[in-house]
Amino acid sequence: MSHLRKQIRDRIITNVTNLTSTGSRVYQTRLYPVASVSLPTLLVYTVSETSEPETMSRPRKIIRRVDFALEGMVNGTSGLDDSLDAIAKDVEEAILADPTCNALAKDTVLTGTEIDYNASGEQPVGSVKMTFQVTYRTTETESESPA
Amino acid sequence: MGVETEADRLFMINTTDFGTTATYTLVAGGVSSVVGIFDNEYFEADANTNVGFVSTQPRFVCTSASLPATAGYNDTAVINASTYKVRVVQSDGTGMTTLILEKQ
Repeated sequence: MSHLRKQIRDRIITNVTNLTSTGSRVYQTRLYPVASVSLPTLLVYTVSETSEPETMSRPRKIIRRVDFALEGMVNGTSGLDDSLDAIAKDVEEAILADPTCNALAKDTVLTGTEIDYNASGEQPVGSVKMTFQVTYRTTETESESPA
Repeated sequence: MGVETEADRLFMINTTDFGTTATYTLVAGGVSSVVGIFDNEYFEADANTNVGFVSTQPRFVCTSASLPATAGYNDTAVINASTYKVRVVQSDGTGMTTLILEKQ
């Protein structure tokens, strides 16, 4: 078994693969630039996590809040904002239709969305970065299973 | 104003060496042929995401005098059989102009 955070991330990637707007072009923790011919695409990253004990006696239960960034990118000569909103719609609906990530987590909320544009290349590129916070709980001695 | 003449500038971009001919169409109508140097270099840009995107950066450098006087945003240039929209016209003030292009 792997860390519960990985299991949650894997579930999120499954949920956002083959969306209407981005298809199978979903990349986990991609570190290399995306070619414009590969757009639209969706990138998934684990950004950060906070944790705190929820019980007194050992092994304590740890409540964790992990932020995942889901970044959609699209290019085109017109309608970039519409395309980005279509990606956002698809991603939000796919993620929030499964807020417990198949019973691995307590809840999932969308905590922020950033939209950006760049017209430096042969065609304008737009991006939409959505941050989802997933709350889950483990015991401090076993991080592989929900507690 | 540059020290060279228009003929000097045209010599530097002639089609015998690195120049190519663009078919330039104004938004308001009117077609002309413009000789210049077409660059389309590899380019990586930040998209406010964890990784950037890679593309090319099409540019066309020509003499300012060879462009129509009203050349500007949304004109069309066909270069090497590809169609581009003109997004920015950058005159350097010495007789040369760079067109920032968007591939269609």
